[in-house]
Order: sequence, then structure tokens, then C-alpha cells
Amino acid sequence: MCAPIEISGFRKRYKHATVEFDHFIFKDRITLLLGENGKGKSTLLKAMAGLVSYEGTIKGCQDAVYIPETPALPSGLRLRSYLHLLGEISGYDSAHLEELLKRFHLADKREVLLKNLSKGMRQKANLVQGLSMRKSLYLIDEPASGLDVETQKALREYMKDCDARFLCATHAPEVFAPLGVSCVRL
Amino acid sequence: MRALVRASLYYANVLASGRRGLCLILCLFTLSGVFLGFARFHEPYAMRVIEAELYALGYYRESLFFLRFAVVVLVVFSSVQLFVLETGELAVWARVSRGKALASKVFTVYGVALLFAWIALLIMEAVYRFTPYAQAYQANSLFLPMSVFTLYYAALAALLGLVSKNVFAYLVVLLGFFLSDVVVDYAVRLDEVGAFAYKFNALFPNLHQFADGRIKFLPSYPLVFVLIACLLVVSYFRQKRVDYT
Repeated sequence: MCAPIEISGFRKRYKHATVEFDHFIFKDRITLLLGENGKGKSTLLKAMAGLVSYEGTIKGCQDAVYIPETPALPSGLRLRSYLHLLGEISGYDSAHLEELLKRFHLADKREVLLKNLSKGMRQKANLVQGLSMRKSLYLIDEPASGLDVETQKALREYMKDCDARFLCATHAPEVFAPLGVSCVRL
Repeated sequence: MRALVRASLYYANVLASGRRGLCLILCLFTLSGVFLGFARFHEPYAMRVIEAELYALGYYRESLFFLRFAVVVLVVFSSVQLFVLETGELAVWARVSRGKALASKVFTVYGVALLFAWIALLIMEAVYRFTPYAQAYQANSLFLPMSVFTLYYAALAALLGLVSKNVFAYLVVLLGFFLSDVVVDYAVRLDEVGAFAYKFNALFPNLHQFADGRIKFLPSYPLVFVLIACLLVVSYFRQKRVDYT
């Protein structure tokens, strides 16, 4: 089992708001971050991924990958090129990528331009790309957003089969309830 | 370093995405067509032989202006595409550091512009070799001056990309290029160039054809080149620390 993630004295100041947490320890393999809009779920994930500066300490996030919520993808690239080019940047397992493409029903969409994918397909492409990196910690922002029931099930199954740790910010905890996850409300 | 190269490749692909092959062929055809037009192959052979020197100088003047204009437009386009319009960058920043992602964008602008300038220069020289007046005028090698010109404007466009997300800011580069070309007369003697032209060309260096037929920058360009490079480095380190929003 991986070492727990420990957050203490976290503070992130924005121009019109401040996000603050005193102390959190995430011990379980799958943890959901819950809370209303603006509570700092995404900020916390981005801070853990090193994308934003913050005050305080975060321990245990060395081998993490951040998967944003339906990002704007480069419209002119084909799905295959996007996955491989981005995968090459930080290293990926091509066999694992193929398996993920099958799991998420994207195998026949390899040659499709990203601009021609629907919102749900884009979210799947985003998830597949992030998950193909085989890291020990996945920080996922709204993983179920835009996904159909079947893909939500595929994601749940993947999370169940995988050894890695997942920390997900979500407004739909019921999607992951069958996994027996722990929830933290911010 | 490997991540930097891979990220640059990613951005180069984003820049050249779509029908890459078709675009490349069209670009080569257009360049060849334009240079062939400037070479005046449509005019009678006898005229081209009689007025060889005039035609040769004219070819270099027109081709070089077109080449510089194309390079400036390309660096502005690449910089706008990568620094202003490219919104799918969070995925890259989440995989390499923000600093590396920014550096790879700058390298991509440089790489694309240099590659284009060299290929266009080769086509320009190749077309010239087929003209009957190829012996009439031997221009100094344009490889180095054109590379310096490209690097300068690429640096300027990248600098604008780092400090401003406003597309209209890039008009400065285009206007600067045009004005720096206009303020120095064609085939003027170096000692006849006015003080204002010197100052303006210090800010926006440009290649000019002087009375002796040589094509070169006005002597003041290295200082500003260094200044722009320094500003680029400072802006890079400032931007590196900015949060992803």
C-alpha cells in the first residue's frame, strides 16, 4: 500500500477568494473530494499536481498525474496522434494504452480528428491519455463528467482492477459508490 | 531535455495539424511560383539578357522582400497559434513543468520559422540559377543574415506571446517590419541613411539592399538583438511562476 497523502496548512490565495484547509490525510486507495462549487476541490488537485503555487505542505504526491475535466483538446490532431504525442512527453505504456482504448470503446476512433469527437468522447480521450501513463496516483477532476452509464461502469471497473491510488473531485459520488470509496467533504 | 524535445514536437504537430502534406505541397508550389514570377521568365529572353543586371537586382529585391514578409507573417501566426489560441495546454503542463512547456513553445516558433526561411531561401536561389542573368549579380550569402532576421522576429513574436495574450499586440511586429523597410530607400548609400532610419532599424532590424548591391542590416542591430533576447529570458522566468488558471 502506498504512503498516505498528507496536506497541512494549505492556503491558496486568489484575487477575490482564498482556499484554506487545515489538515487532511488521504489513506484509502480511492478517495472522492466532495463539496460545493468554489470550495477548492480543483485547486487542491492542481496544487497536488504542482500546477499552482500554494502555502503549506503536501506530502505523498511525487508520482502523480493530473487529469483535468474535459480540457480543450487541439482540434486539428487525430486521436491517435494526440495520445501518442502526449504520451511521448512523459512516457507511456503503448500496450496499456491499447487496452484502455478498448475498455473505453475508443479503439475505432483512432483516426478521427479531435474536433469531430463529442464531449463525452473527448472526456474519454482525456481519461485514456492520463490513465495510460501508469502512475501510482491519479488526480482526476470530475471523472464522470459527460460520460455515459456504460463508460462510467468501464471507469469503475478500471479503478477497481488497477493498483494505483485515485483522488477524484466530483459532484456525482453515486457513480463511484459501488466501489466502496471513502469521501472527504471540503 | 528529452521532455522538452517531445513537447516541442507536440506543439509542432499542433501547429501543423490537419492536411499537412497538402499544405506543404501548396506552400512549395506557391513559393516556386512567386519566385518564378519575380524572375520574369514571361519576358522575352533577349530583354532578360540585355537588362541582366537590372533584372538580377530586381529579382533579389522583390524576392527578398517577399521572403522577409512571409517569415514575419509566419512567426506572428505561429506565436498567435501557440501562445494565444492554443487552449489544450493543461494536459502538457500537467506532464512537463510549466517552464518546459513554455520553452518548447518558444523553440517551436523558432524551429518552424527557421526551417521555412531556409527552404524558401533555397528555392529562391535555385530559381535564380535558372535565369539567364544568374552571372550578372552575385549577392552576398543570405543564409546568415536571413537566419538572424528570422531569429530576431521569432524572438519578438515569442516575447509578445509571453507578455500579452492580445492578438492585436502582434500588429506591432508587422508594422515595425514594414516601417523599418520603408524608412531606408532602395539602393541607398550607407552614409546617406538618416538618423531616424538608424534608430528605427535598431528596434526593428531589417535587411536592405545598398548602393553597392550588397544586402545587409544597418550596423546597429546586435544591441537590440541582445536586449530582446534578455527580455525574452526575463519574461520566460516571470511566466514560469504564474499559476495555471
